[in-house]
Order: sequence, then C-alpha cells, then structure tokens
Amino acid sequence: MEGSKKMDIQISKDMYSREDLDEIINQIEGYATIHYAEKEDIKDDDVINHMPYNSGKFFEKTIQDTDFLKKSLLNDIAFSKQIFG
Amino acid sequence: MRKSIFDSEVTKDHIIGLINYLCEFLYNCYQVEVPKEIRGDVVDKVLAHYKLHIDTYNVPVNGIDPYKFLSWSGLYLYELTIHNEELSDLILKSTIISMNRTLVEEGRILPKLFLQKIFNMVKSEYRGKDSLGLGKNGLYLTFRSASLCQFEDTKHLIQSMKK
Repeated sequence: MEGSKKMDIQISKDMYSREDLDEIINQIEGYATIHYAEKEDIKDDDVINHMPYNSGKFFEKTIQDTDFLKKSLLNDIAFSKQIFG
Repeated sequence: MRKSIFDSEVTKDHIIGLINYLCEFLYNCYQVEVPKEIRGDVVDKVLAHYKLHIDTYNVPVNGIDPYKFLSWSGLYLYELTIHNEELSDLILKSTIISMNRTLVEEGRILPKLFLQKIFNMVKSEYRGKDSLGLGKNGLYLTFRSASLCQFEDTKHLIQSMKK
C-alpha cells in the first residue's frame, strides 16, 4: 500500500542572520533609535510594547533549532490549508 | 546614555526569528522565495515605522511587539507585490498564519472564519474597497487586542454604568 507523501521542509539559503541585522541597526541607530523604557518612563496605565514570554521563547527556539523550525512550519502549513484551502 | 532595545541580544533574536519565520513559511508553503536583501529591506522599513509609531503614540518599549512586526513586514511585502494579485494573496495568507502562530503560543485562538475574514478585509483595503477594509495598523491591532484581552469580573463596571 502506498504511503502518503510527507512534505519535506527545506530551510532556504536566504535566512536572515545576526550579522545582517547588526548592519541595519548600525545604520538606523542615528535616526531610528528605539529607547528601552525604564521604570521612571512608565506610567501606571501604560501598555508596554514587548515580546510576550511564550512567543519569545518560540521564536528564539526557531533560530536555535532547525528541526523545531521545520516542525513548526509543517504544522502551520497544515493549519493554513484548513483556513485558506 | 539611554539604553536602546537593540542592546539586547534577545530582542535581536526575536527580530531575526520573526522575519525568518514569515519568509520560510512563504518559501515552504507557497514556494515563494524572499531573498536576504529583501528581508533586510523589510526589517529596515519596519524598524523605521516602529520608531515613528512609538514616538507618535508615546509608547513605552521593552522589546519587539511581534504583531506589529509581522503585520508591517507582511504588508510591506504585500505592497511590493500588489500588481500580482496571486502572489500578494500568498504573502497575506502567510502573514496571517504567522501572526496566528504567535497568538497560539500565548494560548489564544481566533475562530477560523475570523482569520478568513481578516484576509478578505485586508484585501478590500488595498483593492479599492478601503471603506470596508483593514490596513496594516488595523491588522496588528486585531491580533494584539486578542493577545491583551483577559477575563475579568466586570459586574462592578456594568453596575456603575447603570447608575
């Protein structure tokens, strides 16, 4: 009996790297510096822009572990087909 | 000297993770390649817009809001390819799926029909029906609002409104 074809996830050659980002940051720091909000900058009812904890851990893991990235992409591809066909 | 959010190696990893997830999803789901140069261009534009946004609305920042980043990244790519509806549709779908992944990691779910509706409303914004549409800021705010929403006993608020 022929088994179903498992999708093969390939990581492209165009992965953006820390070096690539550092180059951009060095260029923009003059005009687009985003200051870190210290305690004295924050009012009681402020909603602080930040990366939520669990999402942060997820995205950190996708750049540390290629297998994890591939599995996550596979899951989301399957989910996408449910939403968009 | 005031600290920048880019002093944090973790924040840099988040930016890299976000842009690569969106682009690798596009590559694997739809075989659309986003060259590294374009990814860099997206990051550059998004960070500049991020700065404009936080200065305009006086937003305190301790890290990268993934919903802003993904929405603005995805729709920047969408705008670049607007002349090719089939391709831009794939970019928009990938953006929504990536934003949904972020929300799911936080333990929240939007109904599937709602994700389809978000897709249709963003298309309307860019395809001549902007009075019925959702732009790049509406898109991020949709998901961010879902992420910030929390259960709370609101009886006292309802009671005070009735007085």
